[in-house]
Amino acid sequence: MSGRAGLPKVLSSSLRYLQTSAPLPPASSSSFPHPASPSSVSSSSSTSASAASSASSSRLPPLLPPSTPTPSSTTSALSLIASQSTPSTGRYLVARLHSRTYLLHPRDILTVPTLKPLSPPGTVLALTRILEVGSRDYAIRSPAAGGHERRRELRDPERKLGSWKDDTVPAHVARCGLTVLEHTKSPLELIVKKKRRQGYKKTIQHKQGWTRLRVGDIELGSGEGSA
Amino acid sequence: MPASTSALLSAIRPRTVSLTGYNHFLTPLRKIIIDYDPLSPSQAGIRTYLKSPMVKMAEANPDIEVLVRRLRRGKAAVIRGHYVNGRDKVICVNGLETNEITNKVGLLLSASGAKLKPLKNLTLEAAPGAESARGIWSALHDERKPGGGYRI
Repeated sequence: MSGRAGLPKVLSSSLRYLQTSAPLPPASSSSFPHPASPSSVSSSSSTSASAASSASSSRLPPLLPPSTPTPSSTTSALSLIASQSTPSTGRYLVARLHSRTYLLHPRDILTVPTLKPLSPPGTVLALTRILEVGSRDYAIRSPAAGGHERRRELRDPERKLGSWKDDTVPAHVARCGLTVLEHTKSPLELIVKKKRRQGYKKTIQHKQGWTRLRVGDIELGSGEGSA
Repeated sequence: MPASTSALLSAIRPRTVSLTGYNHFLTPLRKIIIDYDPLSPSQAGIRTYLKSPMVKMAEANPDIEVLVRRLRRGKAAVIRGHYVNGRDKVICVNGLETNEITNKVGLLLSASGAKLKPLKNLTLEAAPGAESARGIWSALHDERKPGGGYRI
């Protein structure tokens, strides 16, 4: 997850830094995992997972996907992500809009408080602060992602203050557009405020405005240049 | 039973679903109807609106049909927006000034015709039929847990 030599300063391209879902079985394998025999289960309970997977006759899927060498350039990292996904499926991004981060997939509908100035429905807004883009096993994270770790680093007095907040995934690496569907409002809320025996009672009428946006395809760029 | 078999097959066969706003966009508002009374004193605002701001709005939105109708005496001025989903939004503009009427027409232009629903707890509506790109969390494969997933 930390930056490596040879990569652009703004990006740290790495394997998924922590796996949290089961790896997909390889497409070529046709056999289902057999239930382990009682003898192999008792013998493997005391060994590590790597030894168990090779020693026991049970064919449980491996804990980690086959190790891929960390890509040396953004272009190769992008090709790894592109090998697992298409612009409309299998890809996600984490982006910041005003002060909130959202995990978005193509074709999602995002509802945010009314975005001013009002743009007519059909307008495509570009996401400018993309923190992370990735597929199932690979992700490109910018230094701005992982805000908690960054703020902890900033508290370190020896650390030079960096502009990590501005180091987001640039447009030549990944792009995504949000189409404005509508600017709408919630039904009217009537909030009654009352204090007893003081003659204080008032009614507040509130209608929250919302903008609904459709997330478009996540296009990966070439990874080169600052265009 | 060919009829029931074909019905079953069509239910199983994958279908393409068209989603509004994904790689295409159609204006949800198709028609604006402005009902006004040419003689009522409280409808001076809508009469001024009809002269010039309405023309500019109609020119800026060529895909929206604009209809102006005259009311009987004693009726309130109203603007109606008819949407592609079959619903309509009706806003009374009696007694409003021209700039306020422009704002109300803006409400019609920026809406989609859907019935108002509480959106506070609906920040992200997932794509229909879509799966999460990162897969479903598995307790046995979670590296964050102490020990990093299952060990046998």
